[in-house]
This record gives sequence, C-alpha cells and structure tokens, in this order.
Amino acid sequence: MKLYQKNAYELCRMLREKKVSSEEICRDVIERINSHESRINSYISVSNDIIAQARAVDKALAEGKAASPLTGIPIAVKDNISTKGMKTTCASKMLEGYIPPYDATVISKLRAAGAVITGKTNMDEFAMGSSTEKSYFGRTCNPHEPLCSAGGSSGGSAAAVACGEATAALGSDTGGSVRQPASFCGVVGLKPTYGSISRYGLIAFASSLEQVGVIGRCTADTAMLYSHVCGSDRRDATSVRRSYPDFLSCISCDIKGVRIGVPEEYFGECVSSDVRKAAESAIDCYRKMGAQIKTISLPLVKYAVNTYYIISSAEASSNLARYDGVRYGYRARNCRSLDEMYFRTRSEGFGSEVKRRIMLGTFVLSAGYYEDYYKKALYSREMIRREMINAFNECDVMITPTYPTAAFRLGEKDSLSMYSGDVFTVSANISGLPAMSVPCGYTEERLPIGMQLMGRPFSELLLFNMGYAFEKFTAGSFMGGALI
Amino acid sequence: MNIDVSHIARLAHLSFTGEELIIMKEDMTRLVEMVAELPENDIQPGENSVDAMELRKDEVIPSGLSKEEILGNAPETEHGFFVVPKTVE
Repeated sequence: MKLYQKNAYELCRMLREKKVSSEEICRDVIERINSHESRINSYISVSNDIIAQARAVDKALAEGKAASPLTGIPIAVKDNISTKGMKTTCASKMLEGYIPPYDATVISKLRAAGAVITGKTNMDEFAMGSSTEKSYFGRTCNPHEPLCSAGGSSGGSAAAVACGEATAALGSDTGGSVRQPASFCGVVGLKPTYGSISRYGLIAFASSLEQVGVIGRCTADTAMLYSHVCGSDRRDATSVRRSYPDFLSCISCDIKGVRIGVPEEYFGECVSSDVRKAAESAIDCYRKMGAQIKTISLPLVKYAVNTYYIISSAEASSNLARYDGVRYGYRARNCRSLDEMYFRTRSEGFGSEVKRRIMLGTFVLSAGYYEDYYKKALYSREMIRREMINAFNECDVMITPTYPTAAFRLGEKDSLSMYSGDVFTVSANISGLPAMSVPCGYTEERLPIGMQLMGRPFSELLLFNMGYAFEKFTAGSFMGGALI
Repeated sequence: MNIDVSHIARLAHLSFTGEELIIMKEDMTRLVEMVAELPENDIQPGENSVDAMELRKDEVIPSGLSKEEILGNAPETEHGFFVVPKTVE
C-alpha cells in the first residue's frame, strides 16, 4: 500500500515508530497531486514548500521535540480559510491576488500541531454552490467518476482526500458544504456544533450559519483532525467557551441502546431508490448492533430550504458589501468616480451566482419586503430549531440520507434546482447542530452514497462513535475514497 | 410579483447590461416565489426567539499587524493611505 492511501491515524503511528518520515509521505502525496490534478482539479494552489514543511517536521521529530497526532500529516485547506502569505481566493476573481497577512485560528492550530499544509482547495465562489462548478478557477471533478460533480462547495477538499491528494482536509459548511461533497466523494465530513470551531479567518458568507468543518477518509481521522481545530477563541465572538476531549482516544464502537430517530420527511419521493436502500440498510446495521430505531416526524423541515436561502442570502449581501475595491481584492480600472469604481468593481469581480445571492439578500432586506421575507424567515428558523431540539427528547441521534441522490453529472443542474437538493443538510445549520456524513453504500454505477448523522449540540463524540461502529460493522466496505 | 430589479441592483452596488437584467429579473422572480412559502409564526410575543448568548468582556484584541501588512493588499496606496478616485471637486 502506498503512503497516500494510508489514513492519518496509521501514518501517525508509523511516524512515531520511525517507520516513515513526513518527507516520504509528502513526496507520495505530491506525486499523486502531479498525476491527478489535471483530471480532478482539487486545488486552486498547491503549497510550494510542502517538502520544506515536511523536513522541518522530520527534524523536530529527530530532535525528540513533542509531537501531536497531526505532526507530519498532509492536510489540504479550503481556499476561503485565511493562510498567512499564501493566496486565499475564495475561488473568486474578486480575491484572485489576495494574500492574507494573518492565519485563521484553525490554521494557527494546524501549524502548531505540525501538520503539513498541502495547498488551498477549489470551491464554489464564496462557498455559494453545491457542485464546485461555480469556481473562477474551473470546476472540480469527482475522483470516482470525472464526469460527475465532486459536490460543493468544499468539493476540492473532499476530492483531494478521496483521491489521495491529501490525507485529510478542512472545509466550511454553511448549508451542507462539507457533508454533501463528502457524500459524493465517499469520505467522512463533519459540520460541528455552531461555535465549536473558531471562524476567525474564515472569509464570511453567512456568519450565523457557517462553520469550519473537517474531512477524512474514515471517522477516526475526522475525529483526530476535529480534536486539533476545535476550541474557544477570543477572536471569534460566537465561539463557545467549553473544554473538549481528545475525541480520537475516546472513540468507541459501543452504541448499544442508542436511540436512533429516523425522520420520515427525509425519506420522501425526492430520494433516489439506491440512496434510500443504502440508508435503510445502514439503519438495519445499527439495529443489529443493538441500537433502538424509532420513526420520528419533523413537519417543519419542508420550510428549511426557503428559510436557509433567505437568511444566508441576506447575510451574504451584508458580508460581501466589503468588496468595494478600496482595501483589498479586485478593482476595476480607469474609474472616474468613487461610485463608478464601486459598481464596476463588484460587477466585474463577482460571478453570476454570487450576484444572484447578493440580489436576493438585498431584496429580502429592502424596505417593504423585510417583514414578509427576512423577519418571517427568522421566526421560521427559530421554529425549526425548536422542533429539531425537541425531537432529541425522543432520540439521541438522527439518521437521514445526506443528499437525495449520489453525485450528479457536471452541468446537469441549474442553480435553482440545486438549491432544493440542500433539503437534508440545511436544518443542521439553521439549528446549529452537529452533523456528519459517513459513506454507507454505492449506486449501481459505483458512485458513493452518504448517510447523515445528526445530534444534539456538542454531541460530536456520539456521532464519531456511530460512524466508527458502522465502519467496523461493515468491515470498512464503503471507506477509502477513490485511491486506486 | 413585479420586482424592481434595477432598484435592488442600485442598492447592492451592482450593474447589469440590459440582457443581464432581463435574466436576473426572471431568476429573481422564480427564486422569490420559491422561498416565499414559510410557516405561520407561532412564537408568542415576548417569547425570546434566540438563546441568550454568554456575556463577554468588552475587550479589543490587537491584530498585531503592521500598517504595511494591512496596506499590502490594497489596489492603490500613496504615502501610507488607500487611494480612491477623487470624491470632492
């Protein structure tokens, strides 16, 4: 087995036992990047100092300096997370040349842990999309079938991990942007509880909904990466002050007696037959493992997509007002007035999907429409949140399909039809709940299918246990991405 | 619904060509119709709609960035200032 195929926890053990060096691991990953990037396009930019980072880690290890489980492990980072001295474009012409002068808190944590940052991954522009087709730097293809989408908006991160172009990755999830690409690419993706990972340095799209998320080829790797990036941060006012365990050392297969809620609304007509079959078969596995299965109902979930698009677009219109061509980013040339500069900079710098969301957000916040749309959506959000929280009186965790279908073909869906596909993932963002996608099957065409596990706030350990138990029970049949 | 797309574009500081405006109007109409269906509010007046956030110290955390670093990404600077087109005649 090549080193790029190994999981992070295996590489960590090999590094500790001095059976391998970080440089050897990274050379293998670079070779993989070189051989697959022209076909997959996971990265917007690959770090030019991967080997230098790896050598520094190897030197520190040789000197006996303290190591963390992430030390020497190649990690890819979504291109909306600020990296000091390294381009951070948000896949937009607007930020094509932007080089942050500071690291996001999650990047500082990765660097402190000795992780090797392999590069910045492709995404839908400003994280607005579900297919990574809306990138200024070209679309990302699914490593399982290059004619299909890798999902989005963290499609580059999920594809890189699935393909062996990185061992694990950071993404961001505003409405499903970590879980859906994880599902499409056959990897594990966690959107943690709102407030558990600092958003300092994550370029803002919809601040009340988005979280940095983690992607790995198995649950243990995802738990390991999450343990390193979670935690409170004075630089993020929405960060929650609490302590977190080392999730990897706490993870267990014991899920006997866990009450699993199966919301009937998530298994309606929009779900394809192979996705339904895979999710139902996973639920059956849990039954055999001793979990209690209970059908529950979440009638307000049908309003979740509408609520999400109103609130996220409103927040986007406000957050993206900062791109005016003055302090950073693109500026239109030869403008004669300040107003002309604002209008032309924004019109030339943003892509069509971003403009559409800014327009919708501006509309729902505008005089005469605010009460009917934005305010009503805020009430709807609270009603959905209460319904979700109350549902956890009846169960400990919910299982749903992550997405109604497996990966769709590139170019197959227009933006508006893509919006409705987010129906299963947006509720976790609206409610601030943790949710994780775990591979649970394949279609007849061998495209991966993911199931979503959702829990109470800060119940990430239970989600990890559920994912880990399923992987053990199915002998890892659905794990490993597309590494051949 | 008749959305005044030109007005919304002005508010958003975006400009569109005539053809783009027609497409945006179609898209916006479809989008707004799609998102309009929302539940009737059953949250009682006075009922807190969000959980109270933890109180924090009123503190300013220094960024540690130099003026040069902050100006480093600006499209145009002069003598340590951002440069914009002339605003006062």
